Amino acid sequence: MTSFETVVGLEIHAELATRTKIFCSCTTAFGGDPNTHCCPVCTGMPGVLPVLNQRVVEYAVRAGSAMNCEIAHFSKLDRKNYFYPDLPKAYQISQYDLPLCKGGWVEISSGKRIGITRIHIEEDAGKLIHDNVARRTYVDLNRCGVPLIEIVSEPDMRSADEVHEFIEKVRTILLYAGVSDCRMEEGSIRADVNVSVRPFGQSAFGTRTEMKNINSMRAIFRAVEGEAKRQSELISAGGRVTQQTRRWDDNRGASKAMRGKEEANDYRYFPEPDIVPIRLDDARIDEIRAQLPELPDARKIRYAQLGIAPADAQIITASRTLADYFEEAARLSGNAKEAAKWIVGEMMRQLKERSLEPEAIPFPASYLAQVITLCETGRVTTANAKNLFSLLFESGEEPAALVEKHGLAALDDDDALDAAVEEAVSRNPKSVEDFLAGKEKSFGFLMGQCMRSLKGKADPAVLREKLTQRLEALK
Amino acid sequence: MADKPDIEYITRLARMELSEEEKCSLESDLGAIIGYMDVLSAIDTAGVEPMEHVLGLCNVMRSDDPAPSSARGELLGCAPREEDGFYSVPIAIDAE
Repeated sequence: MTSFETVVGLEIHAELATRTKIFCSCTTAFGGDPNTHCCPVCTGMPGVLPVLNQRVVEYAVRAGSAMNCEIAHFSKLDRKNYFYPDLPKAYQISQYDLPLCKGGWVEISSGKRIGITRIHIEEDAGKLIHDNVARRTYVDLNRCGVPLIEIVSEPDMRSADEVHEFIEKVRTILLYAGVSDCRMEEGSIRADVNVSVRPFGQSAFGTRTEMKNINSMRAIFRAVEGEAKRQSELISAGGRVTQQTRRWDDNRGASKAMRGKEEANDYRYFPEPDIVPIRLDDARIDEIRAQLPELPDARKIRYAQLGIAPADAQIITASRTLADYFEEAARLSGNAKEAAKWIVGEMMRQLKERSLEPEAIPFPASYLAQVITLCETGRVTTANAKNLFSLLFESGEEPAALVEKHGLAALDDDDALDAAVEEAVSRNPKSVEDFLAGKEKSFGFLMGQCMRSLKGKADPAVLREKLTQRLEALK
Repeated sequence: MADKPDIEYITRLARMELSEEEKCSLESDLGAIIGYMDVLSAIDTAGVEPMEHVLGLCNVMRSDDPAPSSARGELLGCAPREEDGFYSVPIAIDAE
């Protein structure tokens, strides 16, 4: 069988984290009883006047700047006409030929740049619940009019892995830019996936199919792999791919052609007469751009200068909350490397174990800085510091108080250490003999015995020193 | 010359059901409107700035401050049918 190269382009829809809808003052809050976040404007009553939310423009320009786009000095909105019950006006206000942002790129880890064709603003549609038995569709318009940006990529991705990484990267950028919550489970980020295949070495693109509105990372990944496989097999068997819209059924792991409505794609765009155009001069664009925080790629470069390994910097910068937390802990402890080590190791482990997002870390970065200092000064052993760290997740108390309460302080009592060494040596003559005969492993056993009688509170470096001296004396 | 309007296609897009008589009369009306585009196309517009909006205004925007939404009953009351707080319409997808 000929082997085929997969070619993927995406249209990512992300909800903007504004307080109100794009053309009216209804709340964008998630949830709420059906049809309670609605008004005559967002339910498409005749005679109403939609007015553009200024923050939507700001957020879209921020997103565009963060993805290296050119920001339009002149932009307008257009009507995209289609009939579906989730769209009460029978048209969606979107942007056609003059989007707010165009011609950007996002770099993935291989250094490859995925082109961003354009980013435009538009309104979301309502939610439908279909009841096959009653033969009715129930319509909730709470999401109708929630602002979206549509990010259109170039067909630059060549595998499901690249698609996955690109979406993660876009998501991270949107989170850093503070323009979207990107919560996939609430549908606040979802994608239309365009897939085609071609024999390796061929420069012309194959015929593509589009799978609309896939809302989980896993489903997108599977949809790309599944559709590429279907197309490759079809061509290998002498068939031809038909350009069409397909529905990805993640439960069945297969795509299916949507019932053909040839005219479905004739949207008859025309300029939206109710909304006047958007003009942005350079000063205004710069002002919005200045609202952008330092983005993950820039942070990674800076972290490398602090001596943080690239793989660790990658983990830390994947979330802005985590990155900010790291920087605070590094600043307060004066030890960036230790801060990174704690976050990549214990913090990630605890978060994963407790199924928490970085936003839910229950203690401030200053506490982590204190833990680092307690370790550095030998007040707490590394093993006990891990226990301490775990306790921080369970109580709101400060590290110093927890050390006191749970008796986690390292023993700086020389006599106790000496006594423990003495006891270990006298009780385990066989191990001592083995060690003196050259069995290095016995040293570890003796260390363990000492630590056990000290209940793990000794600074291992000091204890090791004492045990070594005691054994040397026997030689 | 501009093309003759495809009345069948347009009525299908607009979800309209028209009698043969209405189609005939619309075909000639729309034909005249499309024909007028030929008159417009003949005008020399070199040096004329394209007009993006009739009002000549730009940047009319509101601040992102929420205001109370409408009472649900009032909105749903405008619909032909409601059920449990939802608008209820004939099923909108084909059975799987």
